[in-house]
Amino acid sequence: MVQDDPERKLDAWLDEALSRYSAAEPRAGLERRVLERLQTEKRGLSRHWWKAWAPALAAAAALIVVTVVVQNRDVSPAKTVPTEIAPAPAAPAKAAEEERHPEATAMSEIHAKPGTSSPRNSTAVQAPGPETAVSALTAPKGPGSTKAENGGARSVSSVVLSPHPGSVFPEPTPLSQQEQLAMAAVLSGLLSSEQPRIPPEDELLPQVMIQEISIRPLQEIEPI
Amino acid sequence: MFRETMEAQAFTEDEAFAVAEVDAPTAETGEMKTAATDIESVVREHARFVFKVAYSMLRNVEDAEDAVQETFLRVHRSGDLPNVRELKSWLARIAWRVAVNRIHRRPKVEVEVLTKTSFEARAEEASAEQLLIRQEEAVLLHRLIATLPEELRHPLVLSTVDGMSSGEIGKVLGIPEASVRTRLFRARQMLKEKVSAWMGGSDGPGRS
Repeated sequence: MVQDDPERKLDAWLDEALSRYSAAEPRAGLERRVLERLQTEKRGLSRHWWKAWAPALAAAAALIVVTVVVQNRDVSPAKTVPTEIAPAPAAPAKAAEEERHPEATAMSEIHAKPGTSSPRNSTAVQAPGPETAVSALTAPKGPGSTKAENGGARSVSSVVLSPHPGSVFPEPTPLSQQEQLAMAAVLSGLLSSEQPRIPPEDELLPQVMIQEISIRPLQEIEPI
Repeated sequence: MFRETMEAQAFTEDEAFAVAEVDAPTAETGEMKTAATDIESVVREHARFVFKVAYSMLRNVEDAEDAVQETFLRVHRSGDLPNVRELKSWLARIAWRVAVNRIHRRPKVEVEVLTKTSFEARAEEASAEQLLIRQEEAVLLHRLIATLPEELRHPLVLSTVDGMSSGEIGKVLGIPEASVRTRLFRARQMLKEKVSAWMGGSDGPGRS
């Protein structure tokens, strides 16, 4: 019993202390402050509702822009450039043909009708012989085809090329009448037996008299 | 039998918003089930109770009021208010979780500072001497409670909240009511042993 007294006192003290342990009261107006905070939260959410959607909208806009750009790039029009692909491979082929049949080539060109396409035109180089790569590319074949007959469309077939500026060859322009006459004169000069007179160097250049240079020995300088 | 959706040991912030489900036929008696849909009425009715739950853990009036604000903000954002049956336990659980998180985040504060602040808020003390005695007792008790293991400390602290039954404590902590009572008994025994040991070296708590 005696031992129960301290035990009871201790229990009583502990109960009293524990009852006061969380007995604090909040400051006045707690409910009002909480409700005001909640109303601010509600107003904030309703006013800035769009902020939640802003990232999604921005991503969608960016996706649309990228899609449009990619589509425009893919649908870029293919430029069909009527060009001579042949000149490059045709040049060696043409050179080979001329080597084999130089006379025939020259004669065909000389006797060609005015307005005939120049040697630059791949279609004119239709020398008898093996087919060249040029002829494979030309649409109308035959020696009679003239530039005039072909009109503006070159006899070469239109080839679709990439629009790279460096790969676009200029359109061959036909020789004018004067150019054709000059070409004929040159060729006739080459074929003629007479050798062109080359004036000697003496006649070409005036003689220049160059005096001999004499160097006198240095005179001794007397010391001061 | 009360059935929680998640275990108390794996308590996370999201779990605090778990709707407490109660089997209707075996629901605990004596508790008014209110299908509270108005947050304003809930605040007016339970703000003080939520404050006491938070204060029991935080031991500071300002921190406890902040915890009350945060608790009701979470209640509002969750949108589960109309679906809650045992509102008081649900609010206590959220407030408890908020208080625990705040304790982990805030720096350690001296017990005397915490207790002094709480005593200043109380105006019913008769005399300055009594106020001083109460203050010393509170500091002593807080130090003793802090030495208890967590599994005993938490039920004891919640038991000091006015209006919380052992069943509600069990719902907050996610343990059966029987376990709550057992742990409360063990906690009190340990406190008495500690006080007896302390009294052996002095004249007693708050007694000159």
